[in-house]
Amino acid sequence: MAKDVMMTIVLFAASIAYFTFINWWLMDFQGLDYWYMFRSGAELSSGGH
Amino acid sequence: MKRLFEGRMRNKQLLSWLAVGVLVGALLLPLVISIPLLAEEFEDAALEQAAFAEETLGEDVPAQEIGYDVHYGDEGIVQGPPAPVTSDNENDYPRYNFESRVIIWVANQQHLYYGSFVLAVPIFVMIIEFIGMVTKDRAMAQKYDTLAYDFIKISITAYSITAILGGVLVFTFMILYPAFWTYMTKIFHPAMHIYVLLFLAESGTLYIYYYGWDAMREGLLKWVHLSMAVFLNVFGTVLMMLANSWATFMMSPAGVDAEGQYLGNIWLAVHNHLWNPVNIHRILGNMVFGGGIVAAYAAYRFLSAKNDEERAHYDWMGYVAMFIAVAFLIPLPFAGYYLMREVYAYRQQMGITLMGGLLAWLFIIQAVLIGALFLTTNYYLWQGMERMRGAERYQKYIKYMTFVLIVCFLVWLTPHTMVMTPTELKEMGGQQHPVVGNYGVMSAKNGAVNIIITTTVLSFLLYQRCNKIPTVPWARYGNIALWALFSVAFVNIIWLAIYGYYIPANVRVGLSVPQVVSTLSCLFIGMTINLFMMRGAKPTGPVEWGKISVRSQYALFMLATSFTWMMGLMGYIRSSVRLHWHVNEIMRDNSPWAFTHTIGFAANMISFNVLFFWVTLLFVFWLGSLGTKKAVVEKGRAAPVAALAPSTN
Repeated sequence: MAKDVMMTIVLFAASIAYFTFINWWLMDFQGLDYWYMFRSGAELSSGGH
Repeated sequence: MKRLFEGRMRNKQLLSWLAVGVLVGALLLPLVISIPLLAEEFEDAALEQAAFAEETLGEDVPAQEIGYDVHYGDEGIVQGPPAPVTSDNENDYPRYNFESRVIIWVANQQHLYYGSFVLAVPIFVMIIEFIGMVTKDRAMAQKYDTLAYDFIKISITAYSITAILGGVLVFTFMILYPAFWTYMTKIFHPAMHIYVLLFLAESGTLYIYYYGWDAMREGLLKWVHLSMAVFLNVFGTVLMMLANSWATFMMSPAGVDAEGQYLGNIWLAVHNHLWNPVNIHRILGNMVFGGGIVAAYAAYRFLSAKNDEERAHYDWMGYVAMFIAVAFLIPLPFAGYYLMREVYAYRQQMGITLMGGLLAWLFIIQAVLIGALFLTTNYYLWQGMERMRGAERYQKYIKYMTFVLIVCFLVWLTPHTMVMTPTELKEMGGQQHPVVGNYGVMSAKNGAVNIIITTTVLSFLLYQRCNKIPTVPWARYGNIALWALFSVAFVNIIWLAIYGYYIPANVRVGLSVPQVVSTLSCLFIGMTINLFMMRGAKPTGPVEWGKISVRSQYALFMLATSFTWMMGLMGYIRSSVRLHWHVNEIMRDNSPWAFTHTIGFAANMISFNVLFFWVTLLFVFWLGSLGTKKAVVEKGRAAPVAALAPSTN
C-alpha cells in the first residue's frame, strides 16, 4: 500500500516535471519566455483573436 | 523433374531480383538526373552564358532583359511575356449563359475528390500488403492480402473517372479561361510534360499492379509486386506535388518578376512559398479522405451483407480504414496550423482575410465539422467495444469523455464576433459577448482542440485494452503511470490555455507548441506504455467481428461525408483567398465573377459537389461489389487483427 502511494507520488511528480520542462524548453526554443507572467506581473489580456 | 523445377525456380528468382533492381533503378533515375541540374543553378548558368555570348560576339547580341524574382528576389533573364491584362469580354472570358467560375469550381472539385482518393488508397494498400507479407499467421496474411486487394479494386474504377475528370478540367480551363490558361502553360509547360509522363507511368504501374495481383502472389514475385506499389506511390505523390505547385503559384507566385514575366527557372516557380505546407497538408488530408471513403464502402457492404462471414469481413475492413483515417486525422490540424503560419508569413493580409476577415466564418463551419469528426470517431470506437467481452469495465468512463468532448466542442466552435443587427449589437454591448465571447479566442480554442484530440487518444487506448487483462508484474504501476500522464497532460493543456489570457500576443502564440507536444506525448508515451502492458495479457474473449451495431456503420458514413464536405470547404477557402486575382498580385481576374460569394451560396455549392461526388461514388461502389473476392474467414475462428486492433492472445 505504502509502495503504491509512493509510486503514485513519484509518477505524478515525474509527469509534472516532464510537462513543465517541455513547456519551458519549447518556448525557449522559439525564443520566447515561458515565465513571462511571473517575471512581469500578471495582467489579464484578451486571449488572442 | 526435380532438377527442372529447381532450375525454373532459380530463373524465377533471378528474374524477380532483376525486376526489383530495375524498379529501384528507375526510382532513383530522376534523382540522379536532377542532382547535376540542381547544382548547376539555372539562372546563374544562363547569365554566364549571356555574358560569354556578349563578350565573344560583341554588339550583335540583342540585349537581354533582366528581371527580379517577385518572391525570392533572385536575378534572372526574362524568358516569357508579362501576365496578360484581361478585360471583361468574350475573348478573354468566353462564356455560356452561366457563371464560368461555378463550372470550373465543379470540374476542379470533382477531379480533386477522385484524385485524392486514388492517390491515398495505394499508400495504404502498400502498407496493408506489407503487413500481410510479414505476418506469420497464414490465415491472417491471406486476410490482409484480400483486404489490400479489395481496396485497390475500388480505386481502379475511380482511377479511370479521375483521368476523365482531369480531361474535363483541362478543357474547361482552355475554353472558359483561355488567357489565364495560356499564361500558366507558358510558365509550367516543362512541369506539365513531366506530369503527363508521370501519369502514363502511374497508369501502367497501377494496371500491372492490379491485374498482376494473383500472378505475383508468391515468393520473391510478391516482393516485386510490393516494389511496384512503392513505385506507384512515388509517381502519385510527385504528380500531386506538381499539381499543387500550380495551385500554390496562384496564391504565392515565384519564379516570375513583378510583371509576371517568367525568369527561366521552373524550380523557383514550383517551389513557391506555400508549396511545401500545402504538400504536407494535402498528403495527410488525402489519407484521411481515402480512409473515410473506404470505411464508407465497407459500411455499405456491411449493411448489405448476406451472411455473418461477409459482415465480419466488412466490419474489419471498416475498422482498419477508419483507423487509417483517424491516424492521419490527428496530425492534420497541426499541418493546417503550419500552413496558416506560412500564409501569415507570406502575406499577413492574406492570413487576416482567412482567419479574421472575409472568410473567417467559414472557419467556424470548419470548426463544427472538425468537432463532429472527432465526436463521431469516439462514438465509433465506443460502439466498437461491443465486439469484445470485458469492455464493460471501461464503459463507465464514456459519459465523462462525452461531457469533456461536448464542452470542448462548444468552446471550439464559439465565434469571436457575431454578425448582428445594430439593435442586437447595442443590447449585447459590443460585437463580443461579455461571457461567451471569452471562449471565441485562440487561447481557448487551442486548449479545446488539444483536449478533444487527447480524449480521442484515450478512447483508442481503452479500446485497445478492453478485451485484455494485463499480466505483467508492473501492471499496477503501468496503470498509475497512464493515469498520471493523461491527467497531468489535461491539466497542462488547460493551464496553458488559461495562461494565454495573461500574456501578450507575441508570447501567447508560442504556447500552442507545448500544447501540441502535450497531446503527442499522450499519443506516443501512452501507447508505448499500453503496448508493453498488454504483452502476454490474458484475453477476456475474442474480437467478434461483425457484432457491432448498425449505428456504428452510419457513423462511418458520417465520417466520410464530413471529410468530403470539409475538403470542399477548405478547398474553397484556399482558392477564394486570392480574392480578385487569378495569380496573386500578378494577374488580375477581370471576369464578371471576380467577387467573393456569400457564405450561403458557397455552402450550397460545396453541398452540391459533395452530393454529386457521392452519387457517382455509389456507382463505383456498385462496380466494386460485382465479383467480389470473398474473404477467407475460417468458420468459428474469430479473427485477431494484429497491430491494428486488440488481439486475443
